[in-house]
Amino acid sequence: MTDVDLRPPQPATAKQLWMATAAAAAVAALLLGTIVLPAEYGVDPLGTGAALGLVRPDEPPPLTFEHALVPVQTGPLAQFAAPYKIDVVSFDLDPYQFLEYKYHLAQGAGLVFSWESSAPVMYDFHGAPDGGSSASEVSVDRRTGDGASGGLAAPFAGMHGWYWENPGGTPIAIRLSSAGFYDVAVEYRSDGRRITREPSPATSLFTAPER
Amino acid sequence: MTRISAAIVLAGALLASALPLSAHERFRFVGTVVALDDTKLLTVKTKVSNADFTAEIQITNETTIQRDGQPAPESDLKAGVTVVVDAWGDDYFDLEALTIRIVPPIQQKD
Repeated sequence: MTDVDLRPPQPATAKQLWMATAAAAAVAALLLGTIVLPAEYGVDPLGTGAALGLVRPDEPPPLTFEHALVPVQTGPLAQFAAPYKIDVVSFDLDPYQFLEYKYHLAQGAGLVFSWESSAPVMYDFHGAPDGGSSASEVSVDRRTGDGASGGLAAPFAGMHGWYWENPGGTPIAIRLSSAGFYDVAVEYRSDGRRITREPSPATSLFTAPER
Repeated sequence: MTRISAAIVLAGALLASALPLSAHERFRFVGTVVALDDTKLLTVKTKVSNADFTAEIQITNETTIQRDGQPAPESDLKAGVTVVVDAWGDDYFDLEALTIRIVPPIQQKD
């Protein structure tokens, strides 16, 4: 015969409660760093995301700025330690497909552009802050049209550019020309491909002086 | 001892709830329906990076099906119908359909 202790349990002491809270916080922080950040945000500080297969091995590393393309403001003048870049690209947009094309800009860096398409497309000029999720994207100009021209002073550091969608059953061609203090351009295709381009500095247009 | 057990159970539950997380991405497939089986698995003949690809996409209770902007029944997803599927998943082989649009046939390139 075994004696059974039927007395009610003693309430936890303050020390025990603090220890339990600290243990729970430590477990939560561990899970955040090892699983949640790699899986949901592509941030893998400990390498556990790659080891557990939670991040795509072909996912490009986070973009970092060329320091020379961060503006130094002097009154109304923004100056840079490197020439602006130029970019002229064209895309074929298959029926019902979409693509995104964005430039990486520092806060305050400028961009001017013109684009046109062979038929009306649905488009959305938007920006996504560095390190932010898709939910933090800010849409600036969303409509249907066959071209646009404009300029932007980036309101925050991040990727700024277009989403274009072909709304119909025939292919559409898009041509874009831009200049700005961006460091890279990234093309995001609807099949998951990402293509990074490094636009040329404007000084590449210079020709040797005549003698 | 009861509190230690509870803490272990809580930590286990947190870990278990975190494991299903993965790097989900959105994909768009444009192609023609091959089949829709009894388990609501939709097979679509499409192209990925200009190569032929047969995608298998699970239809769920949250999937919306539309034709001309109006809701359409699953029975409209007959073989040969052209569809635009926005799907969600880890990769091309683990996909759930978010929206399916039934569209007119695509004009082939010359």
